[in-house]
Amino acid sequence: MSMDSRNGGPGGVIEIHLTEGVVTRIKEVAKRKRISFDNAVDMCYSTGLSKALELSESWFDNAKKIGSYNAIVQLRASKAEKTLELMNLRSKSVSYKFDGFEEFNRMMGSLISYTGKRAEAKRLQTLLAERGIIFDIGPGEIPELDELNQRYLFRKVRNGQD
Amino acid sequence: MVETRLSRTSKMFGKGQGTVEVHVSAKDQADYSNLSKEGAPVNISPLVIIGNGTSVLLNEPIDNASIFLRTPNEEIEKLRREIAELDDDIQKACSAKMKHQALNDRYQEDASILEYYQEIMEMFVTQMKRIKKEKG
Repeated sequence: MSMDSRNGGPGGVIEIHLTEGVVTRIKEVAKRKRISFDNAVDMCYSTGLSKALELSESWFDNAKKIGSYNAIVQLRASKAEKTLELMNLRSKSVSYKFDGFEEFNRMMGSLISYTGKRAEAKRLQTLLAERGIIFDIGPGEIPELDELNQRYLFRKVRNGQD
Repeated sequence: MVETRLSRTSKMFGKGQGTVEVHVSAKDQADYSNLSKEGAPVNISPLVIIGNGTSVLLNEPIDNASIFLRTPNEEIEKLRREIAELDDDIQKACSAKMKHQALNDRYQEDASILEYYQEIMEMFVTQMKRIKKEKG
């Protein structure tokens, strides 16, 4: 059976795959009501839906009678609340993951830029040293550069991932 | 008139079954939506709805047992199970969020430290270039 709502406006059209038994019964309805098969299909659907609503109400009446109604309402509210909480958490998680990806790439770019600047500084330092000028670039040396390079530029492959 | 239409339909449903288009009013559409969201656990597959519609219109009794999917107590049990599953998923999502947040914080922290050293290194390069120029 397939159901495909094709009209989002007022009302719409759905496609339903009918079994042989139901087709026979709809034909019987069409015959008795003296209407076309297509109109009988629409009428049967509308009537069946009204009946479903009626049965739904009777189910809740029964739930009230046996004292389960309040629990059902509370549990449904709790389920809706938790579903919303889960959606928010997943949304934030994806957002952090995306931001993290951006930050990682930014950090990679900055590290490459820093490494280039550091190489230039080393070259200039050597040039000045040849002329007897000592220039200390130590304060510009980031501690644990190797570790950063490992983390952002040369990540170790673990279990075929990373 | 009716016979003509029925014979046309018979051709359409040569094997006694087929797909039909049902025109649904806005009210019925809204009712169906409410029923599927907040209603009782009633079987509301379109085929069952049409089947029930034929029973009503042919003045035949409806088999309630085939319509109600769960009793109120079974519904409570089902909801409790679903909420327990949601609690598990929330816990997992919370861990994942914290993991991504921690990584993000670490990247930001590393970036701000790197930025500090980058500025110093840039300053050194500028100074050394100036010294090199001054000293010929």
